[in-house]
Amino acid sequence: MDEKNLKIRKSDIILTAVIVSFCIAAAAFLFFMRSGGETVQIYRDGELFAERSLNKDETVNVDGMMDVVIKNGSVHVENSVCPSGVCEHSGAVSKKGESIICLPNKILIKITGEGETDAISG
Amino acid sequence: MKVFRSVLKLFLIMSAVISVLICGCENTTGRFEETFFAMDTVVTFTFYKQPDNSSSLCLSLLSEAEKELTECGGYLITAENDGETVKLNDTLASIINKSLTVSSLCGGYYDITVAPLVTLWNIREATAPPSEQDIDAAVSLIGYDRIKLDGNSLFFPKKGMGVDFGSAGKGFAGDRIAEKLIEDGVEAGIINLGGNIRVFGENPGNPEGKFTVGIKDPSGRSAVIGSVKVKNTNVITSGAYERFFVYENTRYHHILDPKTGYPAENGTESVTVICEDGALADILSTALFVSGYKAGMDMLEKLIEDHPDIAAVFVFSDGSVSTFNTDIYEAEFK
Repeated sequence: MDEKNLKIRKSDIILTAVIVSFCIAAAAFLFFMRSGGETVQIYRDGELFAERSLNKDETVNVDGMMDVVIKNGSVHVENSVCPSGVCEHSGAVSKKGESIICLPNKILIKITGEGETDAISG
Repeated sequence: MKVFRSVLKLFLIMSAVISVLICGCENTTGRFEETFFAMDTVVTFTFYKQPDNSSSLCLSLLSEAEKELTECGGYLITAENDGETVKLNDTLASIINKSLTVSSLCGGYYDITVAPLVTLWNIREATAPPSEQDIDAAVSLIGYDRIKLDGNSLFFPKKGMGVDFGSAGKGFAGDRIAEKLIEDGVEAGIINLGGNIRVFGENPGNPEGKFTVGIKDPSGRSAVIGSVKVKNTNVITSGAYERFFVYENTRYHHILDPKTGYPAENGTESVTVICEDGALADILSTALFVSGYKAGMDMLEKLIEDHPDIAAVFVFSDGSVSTFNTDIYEAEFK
């Protein structure tokens, strides 16, 4: 091995910089995912109708029966066709394991994610 | 050549980093869920190994349980004549027996003959409370000590009297479905019947095979107020927040006090009961909610002699929590 090969070359520095910045970006991405990786699942008559991230503001219309509004990390229901409006009155949910249930329309909205409990009684 | 070497090095190192990161993210135990609308609520099954035809299996078990509970006339059975006798199946007769035991232990705070009152209030569709006169009339038809169960024959002395299996049905169904799933070779799982939890088998994600079951925070400020670690048992909660309507700024919830005829108001927001016997856990969670903390604790002291696995958690309107025998389930509260 000649002496020239042992020297730090410009390409090595670039390579190191690229790897380090990739690792920092990956770590930041993972940190973000873990602190707010909750998913909003909407079930219609037992079938998964839609799945969205809790962290992205979005409104999902469920078969014209209600709007599921995801905003600032919480979920609530608007424009429900159901006369009792229980789902709208139940307000916003934002924590893993919480759910909004509309029995007349058979719609279940729940927040899921990795967590400490296997199930919630209540 | 040099450029090629650098690109190759970069590629290899990044592959290594990515594979490590992906492994770190992977769920250690796979869970499979099936969700249904049945028994007037949302039912979720959780499995750790997906059984064959899991969806049709779960549906058939749910409808079998529902059939057993309703085949003698529905969740509510009402006498159409004075001195009527109704023939019950073994399941319903055993539920009546358990409910009569609890009723006599708590002096009637819980009463399975609350049916006329449940029908009158019709909490699900009501927008205003019934008149006082109607409530008094319904209360006069309540009395667990007036009905008689002889074998499978249930005798009602008066027309309009009835029994309500609503407060025991889900607890029974959880046990029955778990039993059938085990017979079918399913090793472990969670059956969630509208917040009534039945766990069976060994949780593969826990070194001791236990399941961590959270207890819902009735105030909604957080998802749970605490949790218990359980195996092969039921964790059943009765809460005022489950079903209610608001009339002139007053909340009227679905857990009725058979003595007053109105929704039970004693500062309790929810009661969770842990017990291997699902029907008993379900009956007790309602009984303890209506009786309140003090009378409830007396009842629990009597019951623990025959059921050493019974535990209870009371959550009060001010957010405070009281427990009974929850140490055996490693209860933790926030």
